Amino acid sequence: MNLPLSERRTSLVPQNNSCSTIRRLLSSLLLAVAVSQIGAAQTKLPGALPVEQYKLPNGLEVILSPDHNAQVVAVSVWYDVGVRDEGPKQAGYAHLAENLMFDGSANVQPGAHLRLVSQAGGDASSDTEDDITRFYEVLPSNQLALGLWLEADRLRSLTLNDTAVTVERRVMRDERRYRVDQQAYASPFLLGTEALFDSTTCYGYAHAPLPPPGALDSATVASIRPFFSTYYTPRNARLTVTGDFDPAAAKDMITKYYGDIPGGPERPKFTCTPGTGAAGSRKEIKDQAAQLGGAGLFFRAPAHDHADTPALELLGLILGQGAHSRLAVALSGEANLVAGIQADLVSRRRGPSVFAVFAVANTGVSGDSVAAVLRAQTVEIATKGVTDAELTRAKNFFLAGAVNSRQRVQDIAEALQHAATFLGSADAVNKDVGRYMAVTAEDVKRVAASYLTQQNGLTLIVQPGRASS
Amino acid sequence: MKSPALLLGLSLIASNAAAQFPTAPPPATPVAAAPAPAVQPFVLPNGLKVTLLENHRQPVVSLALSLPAGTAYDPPSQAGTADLLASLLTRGAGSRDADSVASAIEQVGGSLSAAVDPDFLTLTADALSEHIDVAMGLLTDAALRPHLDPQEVDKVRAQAIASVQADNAQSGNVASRIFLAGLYGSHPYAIRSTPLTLNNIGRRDLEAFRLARFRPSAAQLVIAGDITLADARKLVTDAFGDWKGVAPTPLPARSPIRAKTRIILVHVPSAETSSILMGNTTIRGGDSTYYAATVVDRVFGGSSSSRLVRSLRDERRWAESPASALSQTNGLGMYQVGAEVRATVTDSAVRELLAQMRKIRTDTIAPEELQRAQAELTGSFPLGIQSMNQQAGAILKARRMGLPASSITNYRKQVTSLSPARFRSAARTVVRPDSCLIVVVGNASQVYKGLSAIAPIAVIGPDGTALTPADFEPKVAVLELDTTLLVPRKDSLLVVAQGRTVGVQVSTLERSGDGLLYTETTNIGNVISQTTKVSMDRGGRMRNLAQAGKMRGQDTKIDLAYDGGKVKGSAHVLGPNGPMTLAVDTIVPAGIVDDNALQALLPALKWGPNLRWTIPVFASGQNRVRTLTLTVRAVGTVTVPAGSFQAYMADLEGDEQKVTFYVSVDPPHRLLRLTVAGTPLEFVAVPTGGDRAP
Repeated sequence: MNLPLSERRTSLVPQNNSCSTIRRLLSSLLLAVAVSQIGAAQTKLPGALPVEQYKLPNGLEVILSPDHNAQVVAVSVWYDVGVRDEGPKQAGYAHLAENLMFDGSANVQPGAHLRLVSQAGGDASSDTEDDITRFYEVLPSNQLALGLWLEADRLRSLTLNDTAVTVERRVMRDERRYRVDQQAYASPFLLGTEALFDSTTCYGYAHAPLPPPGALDSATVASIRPFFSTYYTPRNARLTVTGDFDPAAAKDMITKYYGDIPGGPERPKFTCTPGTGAAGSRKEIKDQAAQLGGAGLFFRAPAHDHADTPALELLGLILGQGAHSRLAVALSGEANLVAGIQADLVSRRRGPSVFAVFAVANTGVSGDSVAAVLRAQTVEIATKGVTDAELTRAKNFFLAGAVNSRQRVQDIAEALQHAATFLGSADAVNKDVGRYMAVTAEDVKRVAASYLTQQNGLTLIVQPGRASS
Repeated sequence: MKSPALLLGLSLIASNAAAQFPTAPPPATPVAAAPAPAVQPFVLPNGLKVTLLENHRQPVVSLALSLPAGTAYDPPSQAGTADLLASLLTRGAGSRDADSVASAIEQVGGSLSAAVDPDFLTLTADALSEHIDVAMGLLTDAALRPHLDPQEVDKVRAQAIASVQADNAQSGNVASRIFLAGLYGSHPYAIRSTPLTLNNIGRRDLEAFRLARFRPSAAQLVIAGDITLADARKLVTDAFGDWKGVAPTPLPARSPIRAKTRIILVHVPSAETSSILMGNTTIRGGDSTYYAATVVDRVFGGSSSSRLVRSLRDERRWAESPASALSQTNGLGMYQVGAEVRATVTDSAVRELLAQMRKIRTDTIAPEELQRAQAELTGSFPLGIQSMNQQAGAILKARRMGLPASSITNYRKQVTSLSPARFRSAARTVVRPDSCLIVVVGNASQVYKGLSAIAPIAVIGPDGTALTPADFEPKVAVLELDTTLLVPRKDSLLVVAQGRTVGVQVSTLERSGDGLLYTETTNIGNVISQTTKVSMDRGGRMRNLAQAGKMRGQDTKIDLAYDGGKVKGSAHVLGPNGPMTLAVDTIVPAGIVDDNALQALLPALKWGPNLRWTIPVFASGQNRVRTLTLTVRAVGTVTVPAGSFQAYMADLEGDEQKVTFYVSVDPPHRLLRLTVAGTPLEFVAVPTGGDRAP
């Protein structure tokens, strides 16, 4: 889940906010001319990534994608478990498990994982999401064995002890405090996203990713062990290796390090009936961390592999990306543009998702006033559609992003994992961008009219709770 | 049911497999030789040097143009010119105003930016290869046809001034500014912008600077990505073919400046920690010793397991993150070593840093230390040259220093093949403890004495004014009270230990008969519960003291009368060996203060910076007169429940424990906070009727 405004997409060109209407008309005329020239050029899709996939007898899926551009490799492991798999008594377990993965295994001291990687000159990263938990190391290619070995050691022999659980519970309390409680607009954003789901029929998407303080107080080694034995298994994992390596040698190492790990049980099926939730409603919340008010519209959206997803993502870019987006232009004066605007799918999911449109109000402007502008802009697109220039800009932004995520080995690994998890198969990575390029203006208008309606979502008004300094 | 033999066989197989899994991290394999990047250099007739790195993996192209127009070329009275120019190049150029430039690059999903360092001004642009014409067009306009619109100039200048002012507020930045000025002297690398110099820069100056420095024969352009040589030639020729001009004047080469080790102490009265920044000038980035020097730097202070970290953080706990750095400039380089330490260990830290600098020159660095540094440097290197943007940057950096593109792929091999002798030689060249400049930003009244024993020292204010010890050393003050400040008042202090409230102290001063009565009630859990009554004359001179209460469950009682140069009475107190009763009959000097009454008189002292009072105090618990000193150490902001106030910080010394008082600068000098050294106790003022909420 992307917490709001935590990852602002900013262009490197300095923004100039003092634009007159005439200048805007003139520049859009220039753009119209420019677009007709651009339209004539051939769109070059990203270069194809080599994909070799197989499965070990114990169920571990493996993807190999060699590339000798630089002397680096990435080792990525995705576990099919996320926040959505937590039951009511397991709130926070997914994050807790992610943290505990760094506290030692049979042959690795607590904390040594990161130290060994950095001594080799590499980087390591991990994250817990709604649907999955992911880990990767990027290393110079002559250290491939280290990366594979570290992931294998913790998969086969993770140490679970009371000290580690106590420490990580405290770490999570701190994380909750600075990422949610002290982060302006984080709590409201989570509320808007969760309120669309009924916690009795879809607890997975109806509860917060970082639990409130106290929720984890009862977590012990005994209570979390079943979570690990159910989900942190070869059967429930996918290993991806990208970069400067020899596939034959890599396969040998993978068999040697992972082959004899018991596969593990079949994981429980995830179910979610969203229910009517709070669709069609208006909610108000006071945010103790925010000095300015704000407003958000939260809409039900389909799973990531749905045919409408490309059009929805491009709609999000047209609405909220950059200084010339619909919302940036419509809200100048109303919203605090520095604090940011957001319009996109809140996270990648294989189940029902949420499309959020959010903006922070300027001093003296009410949340309802901002909500009215957000509503008007969604209706505008649903009734009148988007221009070719806007659609082209959105597609170029998306394409540039897709191309950029195929330059570094760690991003390539994540792109392959994403395709395998959310698009049905790893080789969808070479077909997916084409779906976005094929979206028409009519498609964007249609998805705005289908999904961004009052009955399909809720309105959230944020009142500021923090006195200004 | 499986047979026992089969079971045994299976378990043998399983244990063999398990035995194959390494129980220690597997070692690295040898680093394979990397092929040199297939660069294709060419030069335009006007002298523009172009380097193309063709790579058709992905449809993206990265452009980077470096011009010899870095901050070192600023006219000193207009320091900040290069920086302002860089910010302005993309805010309107060619046929587009600022907003249209932003719109144009956004439309194609690309990026465009400008940056400066001491040597160069660099424009970079990235775009999908099908839009390279747009990106190149915007980059060329920015370099050759920027508008430098007066409104934009004003905007950017204002932002730069605000930025400099914010920087100057941070002590780390103060140290850096003074260090660079002191180290480089009149060398252009010392040039730093100030609000004054920034206000001196107008549109004409920016344009003159651009015309003088932006010349094709001194510029380097790197193109990396999905474009052929033929297309690259055409693109560059169309864009820059008409660009004219002879080479601009280069910076003169200078040899390292060697002066004997000296200290500049920047006096900041409110500083509780000292920022230490020391170092010397050294080799340039393209020098043949540079690789070896980066390895030495890594061992010395360039990583979280360096010698500096082990000594100053792990062993001595003086600094959180001591570090060192070797610059990488075209001209005269510098080596710097820095740490932020508690005021009390400033001179010890400086001595230890100098000792470590000597050690790295004479030691043969242990193989484990060297290998770890080499592994970290060579290991992380390829991670930073993956994308076209990264590769363009790396090639540009090499070209700017006059190195071939192959230096990039040779880096790892070069670093690992150096001999121990090369490292020792590099250490001796680069690390110069006997000719280094040491800058310390801190409270001179605390650190001057210790530092002056290390090397010749000069003391200045943050604005550069020369200071003498008289300006910051404690001035002896006569113990005189401003009796007009002995006015009725009431104060409440919370007693706090490690964030928890453990007690309360309430004190009042009131008129009583022809004198004053000070009453202080202290309750700290079941440790102390005490009421003290001090009666004084209108001038604050002692008359009587009565104290009653309990300490750790034991009754305490003190009754004293001050008269005719003597103090008489009894004290029933908790001594080191248990309760004791003392008969008091002692001659006392004029101006004697009972140790329980000192807090009553604080508001009436004639407070000022740097003052030091000698106070004769009768310590009733010890039945004798002691001479204590109260020294004003600093002036600063203190925040307590009662609010935020400007306050004097003063240490009371001469007794077993040092006590520090924070009193408000504004009279009457209210006691805001009190700390007792060596204990977690602090007393903090809570709001009274007159306070505003913080």
